[in-house]
Amino acid sequence: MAPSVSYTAAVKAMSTELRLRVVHQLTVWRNAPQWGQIVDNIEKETALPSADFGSLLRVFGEYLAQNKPPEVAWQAACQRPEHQFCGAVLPLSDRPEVVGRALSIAQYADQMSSAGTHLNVQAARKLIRDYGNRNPSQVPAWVQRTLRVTPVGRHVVWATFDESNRQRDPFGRLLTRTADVVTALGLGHLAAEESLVLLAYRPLRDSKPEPLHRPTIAEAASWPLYRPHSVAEHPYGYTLPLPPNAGQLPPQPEVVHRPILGEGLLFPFRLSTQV
Amino acid sequence: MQTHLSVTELAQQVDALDLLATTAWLKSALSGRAPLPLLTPDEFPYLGVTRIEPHLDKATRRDLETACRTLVRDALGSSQVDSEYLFSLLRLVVCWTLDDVAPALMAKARELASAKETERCPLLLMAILDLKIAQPESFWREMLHASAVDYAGLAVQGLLLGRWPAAIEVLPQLPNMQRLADAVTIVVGQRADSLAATDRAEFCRAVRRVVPSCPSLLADNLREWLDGVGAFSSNRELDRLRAALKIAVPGSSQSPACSRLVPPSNLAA
Repeated sequence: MAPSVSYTAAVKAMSTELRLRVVHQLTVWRNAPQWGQIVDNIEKETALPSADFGSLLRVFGEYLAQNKPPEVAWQAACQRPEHQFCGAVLPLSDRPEVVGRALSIAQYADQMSSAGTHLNVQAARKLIRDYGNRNPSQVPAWVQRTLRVTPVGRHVVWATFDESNRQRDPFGRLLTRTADVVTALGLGHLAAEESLVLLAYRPLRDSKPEPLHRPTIAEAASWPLYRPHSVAEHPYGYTLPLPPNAGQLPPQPEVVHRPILGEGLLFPFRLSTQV
Repeated sequence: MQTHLSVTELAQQVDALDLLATTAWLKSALSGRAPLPLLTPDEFPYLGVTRIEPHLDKATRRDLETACRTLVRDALGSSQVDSEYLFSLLRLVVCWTLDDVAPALMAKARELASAKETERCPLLLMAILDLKIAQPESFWREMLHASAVDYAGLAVQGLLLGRWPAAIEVLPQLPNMQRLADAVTIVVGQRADSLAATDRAEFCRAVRRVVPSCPSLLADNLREWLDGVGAFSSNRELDRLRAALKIAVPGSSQSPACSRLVPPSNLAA
């Protein structure tokens, strides 16, 4: 498949010296196990506006010229604030009221304890296991408040939603089995004994709607499981379910947003099941 | 196209390193600069290290523990440590139960607490707590007195790990802050869950005695907890009750219709 128009335009706009550096590095990476996919994604990205795409590749080239290791150079270029969240904001007509994300219990506990909740990690893990899947009436106010001041994610939050009913918890219908969630959302590694927390929340910051963006390679950085959507005008992306996907789970809608607290968290928050 | 390395392939790469290179790899991994088996891109990097660790040779695991100790020593000796890196590093200390590191963590915590430092000190206290080595009451009281606003929640947890009456005694001295009141109520409930029925009743009586002198936000929470929720505050507790119900009513597969089978006042009276 030919590189996207955005990629081609971005490369063309670079100075010859930087272009040669960048193209050479992408060629080197093409056959490297964890980087070949990143190159493929860069070439197929359609959601990054031309100016931002050009800036991203130029900064990458400049870091290479400064002799930064290529992997570090790419990550650093992606993580520059001016390159993050450049994908279009979902218009009101497409915006889901409720989004969801899956994360390991350990990660959610880490976010809780490192967010100034005065809880250590062990206490946070116990709280999550104790109150997961419990109806709101069974979750005391002090636990609810603690969950509402816990961030739903760090740095860049990748979230999904129910395309058929945008007010509904995306995990509410089918997706509660650990293996299904990992497959459908195209997540990475999880040890056999680990379970997931399935958060559903209204994306709010201080009671105001938090912008949801279409994801791009800049948020994905070196994350190899991201796949750019081929239609430039589409308001959001989709996950690529992991093989073998025996249950033929469909791709799930995918958006990104900045880190927010759980003020819009819906109860119960779910814990995935093993079977 | 191979999109990413498997855990086994990553483990093989680490197995091939000597101690010096392992230390450099661990530092780079915990700083988010090395490929790791993560579930989501925003996971704390130590979780990826813990997923690789079971696949490593015994000798590499030993090297990793040595590397972790070295990095902790470096981090404690430096004033310019990134908090996210320190958090991940200390989580490994806990995951690998490197108990011998605890005295150095305590010494640094004391130093930082005396300066009322609020970023690294709580991370050290969390690691000390999660190592589950009972620390002297005096250490946690010292933290409490250094800055109750910043360290009280963790100090109460530390006191609860040991002789719990000492923890209950300090509740009236806590600052009146919502997050702190909520955290303390949570850990008080968790400690109650861990006690046998008779000890729990005594624990609840002790809490009830101090409630009137507690700061208002904490007092409100504790009253509500004592009034009922606290008696069945966790899934584990509900499971115990459900199991008990099944034993009492053979053949019954029904969950309790009501989440409160025994008036908690019976436990707390």
